[in-house]
Amino acid sequence: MEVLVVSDSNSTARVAFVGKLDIQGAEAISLPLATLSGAKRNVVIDMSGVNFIASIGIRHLMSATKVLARRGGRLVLLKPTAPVLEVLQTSGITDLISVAASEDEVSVLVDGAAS
Amino acid sequence: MVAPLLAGLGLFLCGVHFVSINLTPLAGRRFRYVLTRLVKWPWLAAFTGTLAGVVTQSTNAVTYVIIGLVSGGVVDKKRAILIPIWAHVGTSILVILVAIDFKIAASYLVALAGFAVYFGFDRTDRARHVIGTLLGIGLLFLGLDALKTAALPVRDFLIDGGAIARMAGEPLLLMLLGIAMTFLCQSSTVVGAIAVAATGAGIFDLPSACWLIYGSNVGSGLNHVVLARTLRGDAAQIALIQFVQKFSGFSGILAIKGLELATGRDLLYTEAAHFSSQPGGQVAIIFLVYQLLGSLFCSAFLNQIIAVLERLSPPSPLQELAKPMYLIQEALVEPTFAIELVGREERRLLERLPLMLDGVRSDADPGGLSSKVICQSSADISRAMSAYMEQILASNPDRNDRERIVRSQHRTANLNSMFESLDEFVANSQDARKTPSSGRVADQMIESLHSLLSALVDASATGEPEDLQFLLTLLGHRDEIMEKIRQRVLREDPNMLPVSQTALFSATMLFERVIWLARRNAMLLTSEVANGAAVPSEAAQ
Repeated sequence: MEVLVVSDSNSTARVAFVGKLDIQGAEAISLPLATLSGAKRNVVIDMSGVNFIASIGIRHLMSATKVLARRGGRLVLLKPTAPVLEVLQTSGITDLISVAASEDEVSVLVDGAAS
Repeated sequence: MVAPLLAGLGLFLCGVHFVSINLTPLAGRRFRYVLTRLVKWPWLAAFTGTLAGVVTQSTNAVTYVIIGLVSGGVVDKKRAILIPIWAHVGTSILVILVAIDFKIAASYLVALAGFAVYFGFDRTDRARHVIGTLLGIGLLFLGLDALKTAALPVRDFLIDGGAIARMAGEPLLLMLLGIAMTFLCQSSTVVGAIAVAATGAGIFDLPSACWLIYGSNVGSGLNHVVLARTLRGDAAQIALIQFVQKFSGFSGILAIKGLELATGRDLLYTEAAHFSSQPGGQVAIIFLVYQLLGSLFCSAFLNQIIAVLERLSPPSPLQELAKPMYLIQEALVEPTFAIELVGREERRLLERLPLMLDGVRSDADPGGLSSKVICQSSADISRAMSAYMEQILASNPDRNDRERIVRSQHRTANLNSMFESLDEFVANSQDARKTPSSGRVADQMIESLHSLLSALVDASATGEPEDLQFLLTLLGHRDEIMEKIRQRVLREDPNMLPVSQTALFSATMLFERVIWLARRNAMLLTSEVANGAAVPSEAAQ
């Protein structure tokens, strides 16, 4: 699993995950995700490069969502692949996390949250 | 000669089975309470055991019942184990009194059970269990009686043929005969009674009859070893300690013989003669002394013996998991503390929920326990928790505690349903994996469910309203999304194997059910927090 920092503005961080979000993958994202969700208002994760997500990966996303929500922020998942989106939907986390299909949607979600 | 013996054995085994399966649920109420009180002090447990031996005249039957109760978590092994140990003393009463006619009492019991079933008195669960227990006890006694009756020709053959007479004065041969007869009759007391009768008839002298009963007791000990080989853990230990009882009784007798040799005085027979002038009566007294020596030794060194047996026959993973960890009987005097202990046990069960999926998760430890084992052991703990909570309610707790127990009872029942549904879900997911398309959906559900169950464990651990609210949002209805997924998979793979299609449908339905049950659990936890009571995890701190 690779974690690529796409951009890092004052309030919003954008990262991209590439690979499998299994135990090893979750280990790789654990620290960066915890750091970003503790420091930023919004975190946008490009999920288009993630082809598998396991329970531990979902739990990391849940934790980040909780931390961001406490400060009025949000976690946005950008373009998750179909199998990953289905797992996220069945886990119910899509009721708490915003999912965006495009950059425009991200802008609306993040700007909406900021305003 | 063989058919009646087998019929007797069959009746006996059916009786033991009926007693075990019906007595344990019945034990959920008053009986368990009485039994737990009876085994509170060692001397009382010893008395109960002696009484049980007198009534049943079968240490095997007492051992089976205690194994059932200990395995079901109804009574503590270390307390209850004295009951079968002292049942040996009780059974020796038969040798002294010789004749109690079981057949009449057993016939009445079977008749009573038959009439009760025929006239429809078995409408409630409790009535069914009572009738089943009566039928079991009746069959057990009828089986024993049939065994003893069927053994009479064997006895007559041995006595009439002069085989026993020829063996007089051959201690080793007499012991071997005693062992063989005990294996045949499955009862050392029957052989003891034969020895008394034969001595009374002048076939044996006192020393010969004594060697026969020593052999019968060694045989009885070996019978328990055979029984223990089919069992594991606590059950095997309870069976094996009967061997220790018989072996230590024999060692005690040998020690007395050694003392007699060293001092040149006859101790055993002289002392027996003080209690009975008849040789048959003296044999019976020595039989009783044998049992007392064994039972006293086991009672005196109980902890040490159990420690050795626990090493010899450790519990199976199922037995280990099925043992309640916190349900301490002594805590029942303080209802509030007892409720906290129930909370700790509940927390243990909650933590097992995600483990149910480990057998089918790719990330899980491959050496993990199967969902069947976890489900079965958790059901045992749930039963023990329910029984414990009934005992708390019986101690008349205050209103707050009563409310907490009722909520805990609901959560325990809910948890039990979750384990059962998860077990079914795992089985169906495995079937769904027979086709790649349905297998992928099964894998997705497994990962989702694992994350949600882990979230439930976490939220119950913190007990924070915010975490519980977050969890409740996650645990919303899934019917729409699951229906969409089912339709998509069937559309994409029209040639899916029927078994996979059925399994996929069942697995998705069970997935929805588990989510619903998890939500119910979260709501019950939320109401616990709202009422200001400690959630299970807080109680565990």
